[in-house]
Amino acid sequence: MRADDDAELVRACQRGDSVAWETLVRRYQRLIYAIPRRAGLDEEGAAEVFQRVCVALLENLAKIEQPERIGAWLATTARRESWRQMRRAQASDSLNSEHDESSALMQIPDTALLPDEEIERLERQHAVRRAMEALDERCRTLLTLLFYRPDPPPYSDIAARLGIPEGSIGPTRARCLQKLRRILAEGEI
Amino acid sequence: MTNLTIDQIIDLAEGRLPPSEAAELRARIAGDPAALAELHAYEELISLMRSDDSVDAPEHVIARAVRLVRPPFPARRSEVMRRILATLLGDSWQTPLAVGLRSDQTMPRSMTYTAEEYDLDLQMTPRIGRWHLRGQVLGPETSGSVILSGAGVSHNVPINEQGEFNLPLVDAGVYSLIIMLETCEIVIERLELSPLAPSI
Repeated sequence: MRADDDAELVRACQRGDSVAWETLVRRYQRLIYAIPRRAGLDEEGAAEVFQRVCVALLENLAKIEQPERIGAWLATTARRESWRQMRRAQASDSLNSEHDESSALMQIPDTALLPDEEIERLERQHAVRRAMEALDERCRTLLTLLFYRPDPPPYSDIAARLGIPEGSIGPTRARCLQKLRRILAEGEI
Repeated sequence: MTNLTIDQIIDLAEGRLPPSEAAELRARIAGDPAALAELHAYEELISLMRSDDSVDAPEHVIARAVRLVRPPFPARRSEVMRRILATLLGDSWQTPLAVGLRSDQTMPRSMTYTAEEYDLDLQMTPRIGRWHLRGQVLGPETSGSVILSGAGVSHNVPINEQGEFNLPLVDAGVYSLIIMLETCEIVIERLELSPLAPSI
């Protein structure tokens, strides 16, 4: 959960620990996949970006200077690979054989597609999801029902689902949100 | 935060109050810097959750990346991982019931699959409004793990010496199930768990 936990995970990956690698990939899979999807790539293109980001991570593990900021590194790399993937798709569509991966055009970022603010928002959303994982099950279920559903169910349904009186949903929600903020603050993520 | 409770602030941040009550509360909070900071923090947190429409990467995409770093395997392990799609052989919910019985969502569901030289039994049992999945793999090798992914979650559990596995409770939804063995993956691409009536 904490940033130093990420750092330890990266160091374990640097030692070739396959369990740590799987943990790291699974921890950040949603963030890595969200970025190409947000850029407008289809599932196939996003899957390609996902693999390229993971290969880049593996190749650069020894060079990562701030392992505690691995999330930001992955987001930046996913954005860059999304740009490249979109250019590859455009080049393929236009049958322009001059647009290979090393061409200058391929390296020019298109910040309009994924502005910094959007990447930062995705990173913050990812941090909140990770903080949710540190909550107890009742809080996690309640906040998921209230805030992660496009059409939140009525309090009566939530109360039935959690087995608590309808009148205690509000106070419980407040306690859970306070816990969530505390986890986010303590984790410095 | 004189005379203001955290519940009031969160009600306002969540947008549950009637417009007139919200406007009155907002005016009160505007004069209280500490309460205003709390309101902004909760509004931002709730906004981040409500606008988060991200989804899990497909399990086969994650699995491909995970395999970039391979654990040390026994020498007999094949370099080529077979991927076998499981075929449904039987489903208790599709089987005609005895006269006088009706199929309903409170009944456990049993499904049987075949995947080349492997057989797979799945048992799905409704429990406190969610689904409990367990199963057994039968075949030449059964050591490995099972990954259940979908509906915003992913669970990875080991297979025991009897080829059995036991997954945590999950919500209704559409999932994929992958049996990861040493030389092959057995895949059920679509496993649909029906919505259940909430239990009290």
